[in-house]
Amino acid sequence: MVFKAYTLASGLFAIVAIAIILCLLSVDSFKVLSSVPPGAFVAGIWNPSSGEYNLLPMVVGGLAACSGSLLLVTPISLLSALALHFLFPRWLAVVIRKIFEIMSGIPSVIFGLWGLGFLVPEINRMAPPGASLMAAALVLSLMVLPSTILLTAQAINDVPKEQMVASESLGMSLFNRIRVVLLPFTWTRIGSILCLQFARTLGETMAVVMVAGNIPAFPTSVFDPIRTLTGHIALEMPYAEGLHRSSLMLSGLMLCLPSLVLFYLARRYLARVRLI
Amino acid sequence: MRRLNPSISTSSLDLAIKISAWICISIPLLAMFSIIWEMISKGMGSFSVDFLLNAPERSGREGGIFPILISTLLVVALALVLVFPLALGCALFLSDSRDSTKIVRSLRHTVSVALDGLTAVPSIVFGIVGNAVFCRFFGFGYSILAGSVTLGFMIWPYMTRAFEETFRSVPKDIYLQSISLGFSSYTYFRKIIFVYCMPGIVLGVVLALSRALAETSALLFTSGYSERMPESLLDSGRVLSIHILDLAMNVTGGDQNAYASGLALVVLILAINGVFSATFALFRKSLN
Repeated sequence: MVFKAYTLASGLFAIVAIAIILCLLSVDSFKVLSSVPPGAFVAGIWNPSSGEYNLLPMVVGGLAACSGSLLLVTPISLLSALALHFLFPRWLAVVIRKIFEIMSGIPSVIFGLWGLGFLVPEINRMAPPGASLMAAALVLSLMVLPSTILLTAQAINDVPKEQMVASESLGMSLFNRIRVVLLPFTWTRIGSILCLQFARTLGETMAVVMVAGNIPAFPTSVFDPIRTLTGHIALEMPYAEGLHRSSLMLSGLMLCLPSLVLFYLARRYLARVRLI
Repeated sequence: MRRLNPSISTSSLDLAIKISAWICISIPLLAMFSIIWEMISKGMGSFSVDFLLNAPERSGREGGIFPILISTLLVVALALVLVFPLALGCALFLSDSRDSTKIVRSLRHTVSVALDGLTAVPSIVFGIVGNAVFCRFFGFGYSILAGSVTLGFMIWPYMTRAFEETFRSVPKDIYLQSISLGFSSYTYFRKIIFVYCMPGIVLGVVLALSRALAETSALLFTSGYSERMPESLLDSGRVLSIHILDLAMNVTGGDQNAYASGLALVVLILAINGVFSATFALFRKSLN
């Protein structure tokens, strides 16, 4: 009986925890929402000391970086997973899988450090200043690629063997096998994998802060510096008080809600996958 | 039935797919080698035993990372200790299917959704909420305690999911036999799950451990920046990943030590993973 109460209590605690997070963010961001007119969050500039709280550049910057990385990750992970499944001999595929497994455990701050020391100077030589939307999207892509490739390869691996063998014995070309057999079987899984990885890039802070340039303005090209909502919180929180702090809590809420929705949709309507 | 289009020359398409697949898979592999090479070539210069055993000087430009390693271990260990019973209980609640009244089933579903929700919350949000709740409301201030509680909540869903998966892997006949013998939930846990799932439990803890070691943004506003040796759990302590961030971003001339600290972090994580997967392989072998 005591044991049952313990398991029930720790289960219920999950609900309490997520409720506390959402309530606290809502309550804290209410202060700025009630004292600043709603139009001020999408117009003007970001200058909390004079009461200007335009969050739109951060939202646009963050979405641009994450969409850019999604554009890169989708074809690369699909083709890499195909390579792992169809092209490589078994031992090589095992070795490469192992490398990706190791790589997916590397902390994001290391990716940021690499971006800062290697990628940003390289981009700077092409188009200054280097710390840019481009750098952010590239670092984010590299960060999520290993786990995306592994999960996609797993999805391809789970296609029923008979179908694959049958299509091969019909003499279908690789392209047609992918088009007719593989994609219809796997697109929901792959869709949910990409959904979850998009949410992951949306919430990533450290790797982006180190390479994005962090200027709160709209980017006009891929070589312009950007600031994401996550980076915005990380940079301003140490000295934020009052309405400024409350506006950062609002940013946190704006980060939370889309990624909650993405996770819920991916789990509910697409296939169940585990994020590595 | 879908028609195949014979007008496209499929063999050249196949070749194109193969070539682009080769190119695509080489991109992350090359990046991986570039990252490792960067760490080694730039960090090896100041990486030594002294580096690991000395205190940082001149805000980290010189000296080592000993107090930072200690803070990291304290934060991570405390987080694991705090969250382990919660994760165990939660996983048992989610995987125990003997009690399947309608209320319990819907409750189980809600808890599962809530856990997914916790996974979805970005770590920086854990950081600011942890700061508001533990540092301010409970009055822990910037401290190792506040950091580890926050970190614990962050790794909780991962640990729970890993546990749940191994608990579900108990064969159906063992489960049915335990019911027919009239085992209570506790006896079932103590005599079957605890024994049968021990490797899975260890694996879940290691998974959570490597996730905790990699975490930066949840600790930025909870365990703080102080690079001194922590004297109690209510002292602020800087973890390794924040040290790397600070050296690379805010300290001019701290690059070399940033790379050396990065090397230390990567080696630590790889070593933990390596040791455990080796032990695991041995364990599996002895089992068969």
